[in-house]
Amino acid sequence: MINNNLILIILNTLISLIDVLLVLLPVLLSVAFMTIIERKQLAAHQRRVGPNTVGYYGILQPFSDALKLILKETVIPSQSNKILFYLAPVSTLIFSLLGWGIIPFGQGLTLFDFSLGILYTLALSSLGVYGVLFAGWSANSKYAFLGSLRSTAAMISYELILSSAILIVILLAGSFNFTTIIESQEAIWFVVPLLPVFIFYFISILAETSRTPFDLQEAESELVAGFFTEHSSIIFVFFFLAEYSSIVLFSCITAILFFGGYNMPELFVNNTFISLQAVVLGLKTCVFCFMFVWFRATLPRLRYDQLIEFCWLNLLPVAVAFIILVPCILVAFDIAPY
Amino acid sequence: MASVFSSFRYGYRYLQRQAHEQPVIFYSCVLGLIGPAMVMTIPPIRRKYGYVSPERPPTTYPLPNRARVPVSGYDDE
Amino acid sequence: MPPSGGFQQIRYKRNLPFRGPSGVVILAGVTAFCGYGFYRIGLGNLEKRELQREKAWSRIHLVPLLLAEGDRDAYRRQHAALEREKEIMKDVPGWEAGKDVYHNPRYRPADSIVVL
Repeated sequence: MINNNLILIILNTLISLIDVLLVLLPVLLSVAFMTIIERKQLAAHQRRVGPNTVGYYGILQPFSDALKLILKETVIPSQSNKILFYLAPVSTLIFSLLGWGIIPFGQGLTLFDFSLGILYTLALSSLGVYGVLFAGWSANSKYAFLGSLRSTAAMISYELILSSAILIVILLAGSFNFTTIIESQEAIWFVVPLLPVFIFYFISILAETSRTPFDLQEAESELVAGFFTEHSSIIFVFFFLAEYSSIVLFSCITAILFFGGYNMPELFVNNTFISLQAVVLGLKTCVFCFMFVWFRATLPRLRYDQLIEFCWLNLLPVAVAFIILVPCILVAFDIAPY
Repeated sequence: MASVFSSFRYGYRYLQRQAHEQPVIFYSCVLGLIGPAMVMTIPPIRRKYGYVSPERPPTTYPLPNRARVPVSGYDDE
Repeated sequence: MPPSGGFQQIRYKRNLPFRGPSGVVILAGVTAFCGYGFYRIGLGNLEKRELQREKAWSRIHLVPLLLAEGDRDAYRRQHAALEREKEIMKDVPGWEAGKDVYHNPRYRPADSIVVL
């Protein structure tokens, strides 16, 4: 009897592990390909060829890059706080990967259909700041420290705008659950009623993932590297993966919150075994990944004071105005959900 | 400084000046004030044109439409 | 000397490229777009509310029926349990089948129902 229970418990754990692996492995692969997509697309924007030697059209470049970085020597500053120095990249990567746990890839195709999914996502994106803070502080280098202070201030400021925009989406859908939000968009994608909100939402996720035009804190070519100046080899790979993972994750969340997630217009009857919903979500995610790189290729960098001022003096009043306006419209026309 | 501008504060000129000097704050206030204004004005207008709010979902069992009989003693005694 | 027919007209008109629709047009366009969006959202939310109302009413009407059905089933099973007790304990002298263990004649519902 006890033996049976033990086997059941082990089996259940194994099945959960396989579930998680089924999500995480493709996600990590997509993150790897995101790096090569970025390089190829930037090259195309600038009329260059881009990486094209490793594998066909250079698609194996990320793996060769990762191998090269892993084989390099890990240099730890002698005066650094070793535990936090290792913990920072690991925690950043884990927090950005944990976000995939509640993404619905299709009807019921999710690791965890959390009823407070939005709060979970916001909490994780707040926790991501700690990795940056630890990395800058533990390195015991003034460059890394200043970089981390700047990154942290910018991320915390723009998180305000991000959560305001998401709050407006919640007001329209009447739920914190990702699946319910997607189902509410059967009527229409939320980008249509919330077009101005979508614009400042996208600006804030650009800053949240510290992408151009808000990447002064870690400008690769001008400054050394921002908060991860002292990190090298494998722990640098972790930061790199975390950054691109959060780009893909935020693209996916954008597709879910504003563009109907796995919903699509019913153009034809799908009577095959292949779930097209996940493909639809993937395509929508790709569009936003493309936009991330497009913005990088187009826009110049903002100065740091401009960046913070833009957040607090320009975006915040607009966000507050929309937080007042949208529920008032819902009440005035008697169309509030529930 | 405040006394100089106090002559046209609360006036149209003041608003015009604000719209030029601090457009973001000004138009945010406008946008934010449109909301409460809509809540005040639109429902009466819609009711005047014969709009009836849809029935709300029930929160309890429907109460019977008769006088209540007070219970005395215990039923099982 | 000027050429015959005089000089050409000086083209003083500035040649400015079209800089896109004006602010008012953009504002009106975005407002119309968002208005349509809110209209569709309204239809969807009203339908959502109607479905919620239907669910609540159907529960209100179904719950008494299910409760009565459950009570009937519990009563039947209680009688069956009494019959079984009589059958099993028929050889024990002085055994009162179905007697309350608390020596209290007041009715109390069974704590557990044996499903056989």
